[in-house]
Amino acid sequence: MSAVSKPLLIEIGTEELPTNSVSVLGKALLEGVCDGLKIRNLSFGKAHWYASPRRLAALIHDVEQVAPEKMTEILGPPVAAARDQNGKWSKAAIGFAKKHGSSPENLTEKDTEKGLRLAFCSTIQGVSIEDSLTNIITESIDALPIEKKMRWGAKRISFARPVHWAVVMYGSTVFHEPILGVTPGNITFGHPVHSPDPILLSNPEEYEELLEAARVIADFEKRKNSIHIQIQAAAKDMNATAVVDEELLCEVTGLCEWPVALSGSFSSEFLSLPGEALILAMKTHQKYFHLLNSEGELLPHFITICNIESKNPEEVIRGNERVIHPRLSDAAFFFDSDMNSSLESKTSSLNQIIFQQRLGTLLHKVNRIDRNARRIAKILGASESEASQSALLCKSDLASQMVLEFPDMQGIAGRHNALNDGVSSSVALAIEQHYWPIYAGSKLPETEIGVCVAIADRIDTLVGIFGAGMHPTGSKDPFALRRASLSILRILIEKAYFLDLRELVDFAIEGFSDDLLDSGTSTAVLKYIIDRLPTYYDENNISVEIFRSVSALGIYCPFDIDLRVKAVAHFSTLPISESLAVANKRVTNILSKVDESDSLIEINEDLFSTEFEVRLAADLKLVKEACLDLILKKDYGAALEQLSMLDGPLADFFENVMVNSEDSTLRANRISLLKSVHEQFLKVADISQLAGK
Amino acid sequence: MTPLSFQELIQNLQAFWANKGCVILQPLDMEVGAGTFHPATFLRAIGPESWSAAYVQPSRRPTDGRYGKNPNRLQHYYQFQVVIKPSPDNFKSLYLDSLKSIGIDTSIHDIRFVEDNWESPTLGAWGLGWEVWVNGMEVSQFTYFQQAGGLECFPVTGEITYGLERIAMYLQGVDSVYDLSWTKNANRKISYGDVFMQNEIEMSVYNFEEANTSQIFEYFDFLEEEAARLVSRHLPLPAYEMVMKASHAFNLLDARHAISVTERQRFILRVRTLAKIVAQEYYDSRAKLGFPLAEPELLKSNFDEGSEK
Repeated sequence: MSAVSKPLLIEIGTEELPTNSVSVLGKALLEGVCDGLKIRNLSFGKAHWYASPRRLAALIHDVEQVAPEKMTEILGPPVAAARDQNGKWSKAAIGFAKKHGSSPENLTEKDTEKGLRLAFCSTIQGVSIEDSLTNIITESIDALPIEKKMRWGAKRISFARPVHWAVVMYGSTVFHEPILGVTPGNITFGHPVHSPDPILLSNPEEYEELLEAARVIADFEKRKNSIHIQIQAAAKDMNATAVVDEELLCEVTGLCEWPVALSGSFSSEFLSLPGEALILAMKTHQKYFHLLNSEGELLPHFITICNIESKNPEEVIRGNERVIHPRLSDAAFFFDSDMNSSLESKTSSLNQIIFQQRLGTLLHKVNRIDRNARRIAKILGASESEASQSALLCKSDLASQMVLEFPDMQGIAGRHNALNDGVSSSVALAIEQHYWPIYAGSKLPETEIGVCVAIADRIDTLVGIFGAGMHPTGSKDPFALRRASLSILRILIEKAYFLDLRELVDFAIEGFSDDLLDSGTSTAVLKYIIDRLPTYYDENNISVEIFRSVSALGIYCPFDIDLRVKAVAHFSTLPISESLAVANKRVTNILSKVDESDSLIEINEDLFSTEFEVRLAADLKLVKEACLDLILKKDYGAALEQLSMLDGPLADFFENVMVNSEDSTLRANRISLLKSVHEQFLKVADISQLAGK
Repeated sequence: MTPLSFQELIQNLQAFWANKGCVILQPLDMEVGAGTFHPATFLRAIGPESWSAAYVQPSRRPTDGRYGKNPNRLQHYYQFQVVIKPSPDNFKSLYLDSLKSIGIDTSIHDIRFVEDNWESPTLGAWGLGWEVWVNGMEVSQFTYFQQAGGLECFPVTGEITYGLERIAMYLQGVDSVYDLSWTKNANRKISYGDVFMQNEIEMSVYNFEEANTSQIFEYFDFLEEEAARLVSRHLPLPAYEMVMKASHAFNLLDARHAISVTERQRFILRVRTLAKIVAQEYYDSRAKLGFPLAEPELLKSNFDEGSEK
């Protein structure tokens, strides 16, 4: 039987899907269908996903019509035991055959490693696409990551948005088994304005082409690319550079089927506003791309992507210009009225904004940030007065009209207001930068004062929210404590600050009035922050075992942890690391079985009965001395190099010395020696964690 | 083609939706924040009964008042509301046709459906849908109700809310709402400002400066008790009126900054609690009547599966 294979097309036609889920769902649908084919052993060729606001589709080439037959072979009893003395089938043989619905005569003999065995062989028919396609589709639809499902009309079905049609075709064969409440066919629909008539497909392979003729670019990436090219062309016409934000580009790609870039203008008088505000107004409210001149200055133009080849594009441009004008007027109004009062005068309004019920208002919070920031500045040797001034002003712009209207302007609005008030630029920058990093992976505060306030604010949030009993659980993290923790770690590690979190956390806790916070807050917060590190290191390709070898020491200075982790990471690539790790593991194991009282004695050199003990003790002494300075300088790499010298002596010791001597004094002395070795390693890292990686 | 006057815009929409079988209602004679509060939307969204209606609803948002000085913001404005239950398959294309009927040519203008999920914390209601953009301007809200008063909606009510002033400003090409032509007769033009400017100024003064907060606080407490009492008397419609009044009282207190941020949540919760018991009582009262407007097959399925989830 020769294998037949044909192209498969599945399309779900909907009302406009949520913008950001268009590509996600398109990819997931294809993935689901491919998975469904794979588990049924149906082979297929190239697979392609399509997604627009009104459709999700999967086109898979060369899908096998029937999966190949599968031969199975089940081994039974040995041939030697298949017959009794009389040459009749034995009970074992009959039982085995019966179990598989066969009789002994139909069994075959197989030569195996364990000798000749009876075997039951059968062929299983492969599933056909005809029989399994509906299930494959249903399973992949059920597995779609739809954030919020809805119902419509009088149907019990739910999906991301109402479903209007579906196409299911295998070659020219059309499937009609209902999915999502509609009967599939071979009819799809193009652009509702440009091509309202149904489109008959005779073959899945026509899909992309026929839709394009009906003014729909179904391929998400192709549409995105087309938008990008159109934006650049439009910018070129204006002698400008368009700033194409990837996120915005994806968003507008999810908002249209037939993108057409149009450019418009706004009054240049608005250019006196902070550029960030203009960009935000264009981007978040209107989804416009903004333009820069050759000096990198913002131009009073924008590019919008519409979903139509308008009969009168001027009308569309005029319409858009009329929308952006009042938006910018609003922004200008807010900005001007914000500048009429100082940032400091806005601070008092913070007592109107609750930070968290138990923890009081933002004004309370700001005062605590101030206290923390001054402390951090003192440790870092930065200006305490500037840290204090920045801290006291850092949240004041939350009471500004600008931030009320554009929440993303927080920090930026504060910087402008501060500069307008004549505050020093380092304070103004710190006000803005204390929110950094804004996203995972985005840039860190650049100024030292900015670092002080950034850490001070986040430590306060962590301590307060944990103390108020609102530990983040699973996906619920309303105060973004996960991000706050990671931000603290990134700042301290990547900017190389030796700040001890335990000290900071305990200091921050004292800033709350007595009995306000739950007991145990310090431990919980420290554990939570440190527990973010494995993810951080995982992203930097450092294994969890390496991290554990350092976290086992109970250090709370992230930069110190990092120096050790990097040293261990390097060490773990060296050939010696393996044997040293194993030796350490052995030491740990022995020590874990020992009572405290066993090892209380000092090492007594007179009790050494072998040269191996003597040598280990002598080398340990040398290593100890050499490490003292290295550890003080935090040169953990060199310290590990020193410790590596104990590899040979340790191996010899284990090879030749019985720790568990019958003489209890000898035993105690040997344990003390090992304990001393162990303690020396722990001054750098617990290398035993690397064993058996 | 001369653009429609404000009143012609309303007339066209009414005629359009009357033609599609909607009951044309008059505005609710009470202060509400949006057309959704009208019993013809909120209560009719509950239970298995079919329902199609369209109406203008004056909407009051005391905090949005600007003493007549902002060309776009009003504390009293108009919404045109359409509800159809169950939402028909061609609901979106009916809507696009309605835009054509008021002079928005869909082959010229860029019309977009941008995800916007609606939630009313005070009504315990939510739905999924879009804001509709015409050339980048939001002109309508389009929602499929999923829950009202805490009750699952089945069948689903489709709701369209047109922002009448915005659409009219767009059609007439004016930049201030007060310059809208309300109507033209032989000798003169009557503008939106002629009709409402004084009202905006005086009501802004009232909302922000004069409203007697201590009396309104007491009134709110009274309305809360009254709504609960009326529910216990199995009078869901009068009880619902108390809920709407309580909601407006809350909005007034909010405009006077008489409610702190924390208190705010608590007040919203109080209104929602009322909305929920009223919704349940309304459902029960319709059930007692045998859901007279329900299609037979929906009636059956409602009794079979109505309490799903």
